[in-house]
Amino acid sequence: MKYVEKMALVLSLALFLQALTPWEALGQERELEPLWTPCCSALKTRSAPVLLAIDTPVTREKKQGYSRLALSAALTLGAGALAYWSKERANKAYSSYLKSANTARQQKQYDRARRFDRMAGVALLSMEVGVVFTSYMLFLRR
Amino acid sequence: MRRALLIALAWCALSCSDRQRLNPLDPQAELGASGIGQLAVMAGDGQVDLDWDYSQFDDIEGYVLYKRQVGGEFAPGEFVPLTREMLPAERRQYVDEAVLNGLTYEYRLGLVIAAEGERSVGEVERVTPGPEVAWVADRGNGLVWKINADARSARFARGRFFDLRDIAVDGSNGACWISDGASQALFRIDAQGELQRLGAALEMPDELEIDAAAGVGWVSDRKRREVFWFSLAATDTLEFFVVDASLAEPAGLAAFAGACWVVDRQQGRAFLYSTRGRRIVEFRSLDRPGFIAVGADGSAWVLVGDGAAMMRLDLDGGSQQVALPFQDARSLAINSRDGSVWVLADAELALYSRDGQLLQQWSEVPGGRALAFDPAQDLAWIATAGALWKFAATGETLARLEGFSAMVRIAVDSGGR
Repeated sequence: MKYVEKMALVLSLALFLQALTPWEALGQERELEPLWTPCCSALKTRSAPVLLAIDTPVTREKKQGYSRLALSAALTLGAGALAYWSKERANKAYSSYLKSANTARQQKQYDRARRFDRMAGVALLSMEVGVVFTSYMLFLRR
Repeated sequence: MRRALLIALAWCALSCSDRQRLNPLDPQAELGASGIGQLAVMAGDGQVDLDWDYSQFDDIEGYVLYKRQVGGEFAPGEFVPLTREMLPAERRQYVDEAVLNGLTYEYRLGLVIAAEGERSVGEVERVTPGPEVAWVADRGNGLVWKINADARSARFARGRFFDLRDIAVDGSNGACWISDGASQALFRIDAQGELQRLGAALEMPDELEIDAAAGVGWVSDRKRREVFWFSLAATDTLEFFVVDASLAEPAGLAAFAGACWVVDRQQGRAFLYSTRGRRIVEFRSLDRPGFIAVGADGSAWVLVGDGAAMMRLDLDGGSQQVALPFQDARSLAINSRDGSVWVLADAELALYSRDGQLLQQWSEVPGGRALAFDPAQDLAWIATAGALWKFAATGETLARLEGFSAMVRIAVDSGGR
């Protein structure tokens, strides 16, 4: 397996593992906030302050953020898979070129190998951009 | 707009492909169609062996071999197919037995390719079959080469030997014997190329001679300062019989009819010793004797004075010294048919008659190292540092084969068994 393929595979796996991580574990789903009773009468009764845990409603903005994150991860994985597949096809076409004595077949297979090489290159770049973008969304953006 | 530009730049950066055109049959290939798989033609005795290998290609349907005789019955430029039908795709070799020794032929190969038809590949190969074979010891890379009759190609090489000292041919079966100073053994390569190690009680084998007619071999040991003879019939271990003589520096051997001329450089003597354990004749007070060669009548020529002269040693005890026109003769060979003597120096070659008259002299033989004469074909083989030359008795250069690193010995098998 060549370097590009290995890299694509490792990055895809990393992203896949990230995608499986539960959101709760990252502390974004629930928040604990102290809530003091605003009523003066409550103060009069000298009762102890009550600490309550309540579900904070997920805002529309956050929902959109999760969707983007999932989409980014999926696109990254897709790009990695496409890079791997293209490289495989390019290698196969080049192998076929080396086995060809027929001049027309040589040219056809050689062109095919170059085309898939280019496709693999673009897919790899897309995957790298996707990794950076997904990481940003996952860890840096609140 | 900026984003689109960035994407376009990235596409351009990645659109290059590092695939090279390495298919040897690709007309646009960087290396061209030469090298891999191409037709190899080797001269044999009454036959020409043709080999090729295009097995890596999966769309070759067959092969067509073409041949023409150079300067013969075929008009120049006219190639004739060797077979009526094309050879199948699985075929890798062909033996053409419709040839005559001494005539020159040219061959070329055509590939029959699926959906394309026939295409000629590689160069036109020239070959001159013949019975003779030369063996060459290349000390530079420790290989012993078997050279084809026309000296245009080598059939195979065997090794590696760490300290190649000498080689000799067994004329009865075409095998080559090898002495390697770094091995306590002798080696034998048969005509087909199989290498065999023969264990021997030697410490540092040096000079080697094979007397096929008598079925014995002779070898000197530089460390033990002794000369031994042994039977060629041995299969795995050699039994040695020591030559009964006190030697200081055995420097040359030349076998003849069950006996062997032995040269002791330090003691300045040469003697002919028989396997029956007696000295037939002995010469003393020689001036720094070295390389020795024996003729068909048993008389020997030995280089003396560090190559400044040569001396004929006759069986009846007579001798004749001949001054050479150069000071650094290294090797000599005798034409057993007429007794003429070929002498090789570092940059010159000379031919003497049996009675020591200079017949011919050639200069511009750069780096002459070893010499052998084939009386059956009337040809001289000369090894320089990096090239092997084949000369006709008239001095005409017939072939030159390059690619060696440091040849030290040649042994010629006249063939015709």
